[in-house]
Amino acid sequence: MSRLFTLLGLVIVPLLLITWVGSPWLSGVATSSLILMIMVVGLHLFSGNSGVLAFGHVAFVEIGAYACGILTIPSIAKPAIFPNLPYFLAHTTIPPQAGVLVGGVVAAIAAAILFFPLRRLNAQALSIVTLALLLIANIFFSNIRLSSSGGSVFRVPLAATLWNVVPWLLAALLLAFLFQRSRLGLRLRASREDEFAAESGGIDIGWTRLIAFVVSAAIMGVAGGLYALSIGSFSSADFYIDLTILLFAMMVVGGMRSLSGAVIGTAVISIVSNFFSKLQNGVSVGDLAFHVPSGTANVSIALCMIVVLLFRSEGLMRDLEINVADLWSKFKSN
Amino acid sequence: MIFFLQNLIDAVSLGCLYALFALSIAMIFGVARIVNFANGDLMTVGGFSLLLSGTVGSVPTLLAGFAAVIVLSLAMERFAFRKIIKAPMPTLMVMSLGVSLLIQNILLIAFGSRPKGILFAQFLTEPLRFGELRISALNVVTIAVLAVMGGGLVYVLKRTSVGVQLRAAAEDFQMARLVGVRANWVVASSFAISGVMAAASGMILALQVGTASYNLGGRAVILGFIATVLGGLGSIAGAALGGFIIGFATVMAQIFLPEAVSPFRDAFVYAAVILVLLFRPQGLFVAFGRGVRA
Repeated sequence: MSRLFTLLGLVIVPLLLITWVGSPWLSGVATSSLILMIMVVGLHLFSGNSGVLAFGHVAFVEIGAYACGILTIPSIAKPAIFPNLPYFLAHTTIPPQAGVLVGGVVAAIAAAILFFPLRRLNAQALSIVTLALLLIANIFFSNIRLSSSGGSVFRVPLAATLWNVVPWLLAALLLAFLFQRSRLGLRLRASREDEFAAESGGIDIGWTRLIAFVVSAAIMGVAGGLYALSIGSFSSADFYIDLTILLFAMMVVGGMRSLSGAVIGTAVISIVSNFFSKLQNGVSVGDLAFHVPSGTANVSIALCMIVVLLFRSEGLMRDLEINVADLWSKFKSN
Repeated sequence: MIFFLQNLIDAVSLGCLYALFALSIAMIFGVARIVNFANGDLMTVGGFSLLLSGTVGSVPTLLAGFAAVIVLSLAMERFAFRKIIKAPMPTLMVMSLGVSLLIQNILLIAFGSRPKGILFAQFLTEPLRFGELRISALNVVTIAVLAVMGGGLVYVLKRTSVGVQLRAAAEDFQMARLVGVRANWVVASSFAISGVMAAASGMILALQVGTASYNLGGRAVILGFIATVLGGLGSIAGAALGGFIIGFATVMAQIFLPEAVSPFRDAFVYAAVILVLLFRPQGLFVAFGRGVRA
């Protein structure tokens, strides 16, 4: 239990500080980092426990974002923006938080349908096939004729403020924590360590992966809904290789097999990349204004990944979880 | 008839290009079990090398291009992968993502985000005429390049000492080491050979679009992976065939799909690949039980 509280504290305390400082730039950055953290937690739930790299998980973020976006845009504005929506969608508007939930549910349903036939593939083939799913999702969402501008969505209400995102993040962390400790999580990790041994031990790897995949897709969908509500307008290009690599960088730097690793990795990469993004946009020190070329932030992310993988290839946290009680007892015994 | 031949040549040429992508991916995967995303960026570097043709002649440009890509590929092996070569496969995959992100953004910083026009061997864009048949010279070159590279690869794998070692390592890495194959050497040679294919792929890609941009090889590398999985992970010939089939199918889908869904062409092709994998999870050209083991 103290492990869970440590994890939640790790998120809450810095946020309280950020709110106390009250800089709008900082809380904007924090909001988008928290949404990314939800995605990383979702990705960790499947990839961390199963050892299968799900390169296509961003597709579920996309599904969640589209579902939430389309449902939460005020219905007065809809006919003008999206003349092609079916009647039912064109005349319904639901509150933002409900939209997020629907995003998660729709993503989970899509994941169940898509993954069911794939459950028998081996780990490597599965990674690449999910990547193919991402390509398909990208082609689909960039070519559907939602509006005059193709597949882009705009005028989504900007309802995802910092403290609106936090409950969703805590829920995702709780879910991932419980999953990790459940029988299902244990079985999935067994299949990660040795597929053949796990199978001989009576574990149905396909079904175990299926359930984890659906749960993690639900988290991705929720994150997608929040993304839509935080940015207001988006298109298919937002949910593609760049975001995929960013999420993997965050997960791996922290340690793919650790839930605290997902939190810490997201924090580290967010801080580094936002620092360099700020420099990219230009800063002035005294009366000296300068900026670094665009691409620098990504170079910094890449270097973080490479350095961590070279010198601590299991990530900063390896497969350990931070626990304040352990730290306290260590501190006392010293 | 003309229409049929015309499209057949397009299909074969795209198939050959995708086969080249797949060979480049499969070469490294077969030996080192690395799914190397950074291969796409090797292709990009190959494409950028054609910019040199403005200052030096065509032949030096080609030589420099191939040399640059091979050196980069070897550097990647030496500095990014060698230390962690025994790590689990996901770690290696993610390392290649990191390397890819690094190279791509260094190119972005160096050349900017706007595509650079390429003025190399302009005659390649002119169509060749055979009666009513018009064939783009680049299509012919693509097919020829695959023939040469494929032939060269078969020769190297079957007739040279390096080739025997590579095949042995692909079959059973541990066993190969026990009988005296030097692990680092054989992995490095697979990277070098893969680099040759990547350079050729990148140059053809750049000539096709007429420009080089920092994300030139991004889509190609993914196509290469999908082709490799379709052919069967661990089978080099299978990968090439997988690539060929996907390229061929893409052109066929272009012709036969109704107008309304043609923007979704590639989605249909990928979905078809997934469908095939459902029935043959080990890939098309790998006998059951002979596929990759983790």
